[in-house]
Amino acid sequence: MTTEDDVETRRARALRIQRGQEGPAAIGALLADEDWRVRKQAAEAAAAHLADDMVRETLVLGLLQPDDVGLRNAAVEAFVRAEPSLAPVVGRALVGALDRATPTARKFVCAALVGAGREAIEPLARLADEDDVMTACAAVEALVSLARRGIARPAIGRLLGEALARPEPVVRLAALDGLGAAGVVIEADALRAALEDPVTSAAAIGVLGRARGTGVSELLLAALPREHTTVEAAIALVRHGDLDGEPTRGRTLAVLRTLPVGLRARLAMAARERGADDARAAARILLEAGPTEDGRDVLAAVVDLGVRAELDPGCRAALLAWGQEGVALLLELVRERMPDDVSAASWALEAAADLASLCPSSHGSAVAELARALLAHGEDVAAKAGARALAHFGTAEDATLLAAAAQAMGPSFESLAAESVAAIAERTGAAPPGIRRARRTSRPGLVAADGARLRRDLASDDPSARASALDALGHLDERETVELVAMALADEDEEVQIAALRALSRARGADARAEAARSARVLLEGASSPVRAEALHTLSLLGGFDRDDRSEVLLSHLADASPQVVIAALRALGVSAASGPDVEAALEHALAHDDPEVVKETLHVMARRPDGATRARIVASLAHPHWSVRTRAAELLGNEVQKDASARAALEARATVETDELVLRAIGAALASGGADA
Amino acid sequence: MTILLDGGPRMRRDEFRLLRDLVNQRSGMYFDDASFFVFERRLRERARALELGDFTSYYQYLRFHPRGPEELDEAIDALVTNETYFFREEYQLRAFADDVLPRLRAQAEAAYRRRLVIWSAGCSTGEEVYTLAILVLRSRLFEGWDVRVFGNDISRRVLGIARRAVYPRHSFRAMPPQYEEYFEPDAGGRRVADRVRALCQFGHFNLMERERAAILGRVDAIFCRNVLIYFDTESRRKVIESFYDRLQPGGFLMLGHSESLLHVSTAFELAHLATDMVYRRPLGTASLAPRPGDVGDARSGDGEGRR
Repeated sequence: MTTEDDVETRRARALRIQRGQEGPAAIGALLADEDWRVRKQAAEAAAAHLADDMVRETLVLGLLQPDDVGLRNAAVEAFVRAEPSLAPVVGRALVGALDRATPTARKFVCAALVGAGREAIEPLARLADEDDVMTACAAVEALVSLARRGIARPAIGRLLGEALARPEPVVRLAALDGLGAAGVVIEADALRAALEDPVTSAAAIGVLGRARGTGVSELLLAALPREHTTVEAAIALVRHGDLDGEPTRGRTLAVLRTLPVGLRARLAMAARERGADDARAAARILLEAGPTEDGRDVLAAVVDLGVRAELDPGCRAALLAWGQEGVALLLELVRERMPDDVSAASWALEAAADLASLCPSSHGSAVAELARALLAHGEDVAAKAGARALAHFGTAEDATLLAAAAQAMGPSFESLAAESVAAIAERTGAAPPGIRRARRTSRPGLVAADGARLRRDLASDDPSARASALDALGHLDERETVELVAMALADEDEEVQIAALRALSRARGADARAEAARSARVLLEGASSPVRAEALHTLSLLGGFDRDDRSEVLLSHLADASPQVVIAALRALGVSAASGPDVEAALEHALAHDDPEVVKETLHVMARRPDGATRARIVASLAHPHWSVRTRAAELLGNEVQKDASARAALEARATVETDELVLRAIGAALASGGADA
Repeated sequence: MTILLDGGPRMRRDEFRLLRDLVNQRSGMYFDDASFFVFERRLRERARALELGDFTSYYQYLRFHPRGPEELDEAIDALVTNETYFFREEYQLRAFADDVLPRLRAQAEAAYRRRLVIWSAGCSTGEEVYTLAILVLRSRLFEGWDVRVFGNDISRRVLGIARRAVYPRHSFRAMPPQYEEYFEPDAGGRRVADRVRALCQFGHFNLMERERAAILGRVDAIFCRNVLIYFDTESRRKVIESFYDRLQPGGFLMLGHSESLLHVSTAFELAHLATDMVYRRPLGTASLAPRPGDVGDARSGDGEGRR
């Protein structure tokens, strides 16, 4: 047997143990295996068997032994992966191990205690208070890991605040790092000592941005012009919201505008090099200060950030305030970055075009000239930037250029080119050249139905052209036109069928609508799921399910194998008058669907039928296994909290056990919408 | 949607998470919370192109529509800033040409093999593939050999560009002048010469699809530069394991200058070259037993038969 085969064999054995196909007797040897892949699999297997006394003791011994690093790490990983139901057992095992642990081993026990969840907080609090600095640090880090999991954040925040009072800088730094990473909010007063210590001041500034209490803004403003804290203070000012509201906004901007060039250069470097969130904060500070003598360097950093990570709304609003001066500087950057840095040049041009479109600008022709150059460049990102800029400032001749480019560049460019051509046509009044393969982006009514022309277009050998012809149609007023469009439902191309269904949904007048609905109904059977889903949507728009005798059609599609069709049926049901026991039964069935998207759509339909039974089902969905269903349930209940105390009570109860951050945020927002302290 | 003006649907946080998880499942790439605005802006364009009015509809399209997987690949392409050009990281390429190629020739000859296969994993628009082919040609070490340089990517769009083999000026910004002879003028810039293109092939698959990678058989060198930075730890491990499987014993793995296998794999050894350090599958390891669907062994000509 080869070495690789041996590894695979041992790893497979660990997997069998994990799946319960073999007993855990060999787990100790596998945890101590020489190959990391085997150890990793063994850790997962051990985590699955933590209820077994032998396995737990094996892991504890692995933690406590001094020589085998791989075994120790595997033991930590196994404990950390413990199921929440085993937290008390894990906690007892590890706390019991502390008596046998050397100072070195205690660090690993701390790391493993994360697997004990809430049970670990009390022992970790004691460990964080120990004289041994390394143990105290390990305990602090473990507490941070728990907070990251959403466990007992307020309590852990207090403990981390206490750790800030320790004399050892390394413990204070661990606590500060934890406060930042775990998103724990503490009182600003708890940070004062750390702010005054040169070793910890930069880290403390970073945490200060999330702190509560009076004087935070003062502390941050004081730190902003200091060389070694400028960047952290700038980022913290954005995080603390000082740029979003009075009364400190004015003072903040005053400080920003007087920052020396050297400090602004540091902020620009941060905008280029830091992680996206920090970079955006640094960029926003620079932009909020407005155009300064180094405005070009500021915008260069912003462009690089934009290419890398895009701007957030705060940065965008701040850049918009630069007006004409911003346009001029951005256009300089476009010229400078072309042709070597196409991404940056493209981004800068689009930003310049946006800015120029909002302020009375003399730069329109310059924007258009550079847009043409980028369009001709050939690179996808450049052509798209050129097209978007020409939408604002292009001429009728540019519309022709765009149409030609659309032919050359293919589908990914066509719809954008069509939008830009339409925008130019609207602005200049000139007739737009056709973009043969582009999908419809025009509004209904732009093209009146012309039977002869439609017949000709629908006879094209190009399915995109056939679909485009249907997309370009406005309202269908005549029965004869509806019949012509309906014939396209038999097209062999699915996209053409869907375009025909969408066109039918624009039928007007009783006769035309009735004919359109009759035709669309044909595609409810035998077609592909996207087509059937579109047919359901079209019929819904045409009122095809308004009659009770049509509801059985909907019900049959609620039980379809395709989630896409079920969702379309649910949406149609949501706007129909269908009701009754069959409908309720079908909704119950959909609520138990495997796919969370179906469940969410069902909840929406139920929310529009407010009665005690459906409310109870939405409440029950707060405990659904999938986080997105729980989020949606919380949002829907949020619409009820103002008038229904039971909705509020259900949300508050869920908040005490929920661990998913996004769900907790949704619950908080839902409660806040009712005026509660979320 | 433009850069500064809100002209379309806003993305909700739950929509971002659903889309991010879908991208991760498909490609192994992981985007952190700070990527929210990247997702919102770049996927908005794709949603509008499909005439979908909100991101929930876009997510459902990706999940349920028959063209969803194809669209997902294009969405991933839109999210990743993958800029490449000829002779990127030239110092590493020089080490490859001066040090690695002679070693690969010697190893192949020792195994009575006159075949060289190089894989550019995540090749984007193809410049790296053609660069490697040019280096092989210029070395003159493999004349008369069966030489293949293969590039794969998840995006059909960039593969189309790679196959066209016509590049604008900025693709050549780092290319030393002595390689000009491998290009011909073209209306769109410069076209890769036919004798270079003849060595190159392209394929569409995801690096996470280990079974698809088996199509390549055994390769002598893999270039995967500035691709794995987008992957989460577990996905990175899986891809590296796949690379190990694909490499001949003694085969080389070239990563980006800021990337390493630290905390990812101990299976590779570090090889010290004159001007660089690279990873190598140890020479002593015998070939793996063929996996189902692995067609490589029969073509490798390495003298080791199937078990």
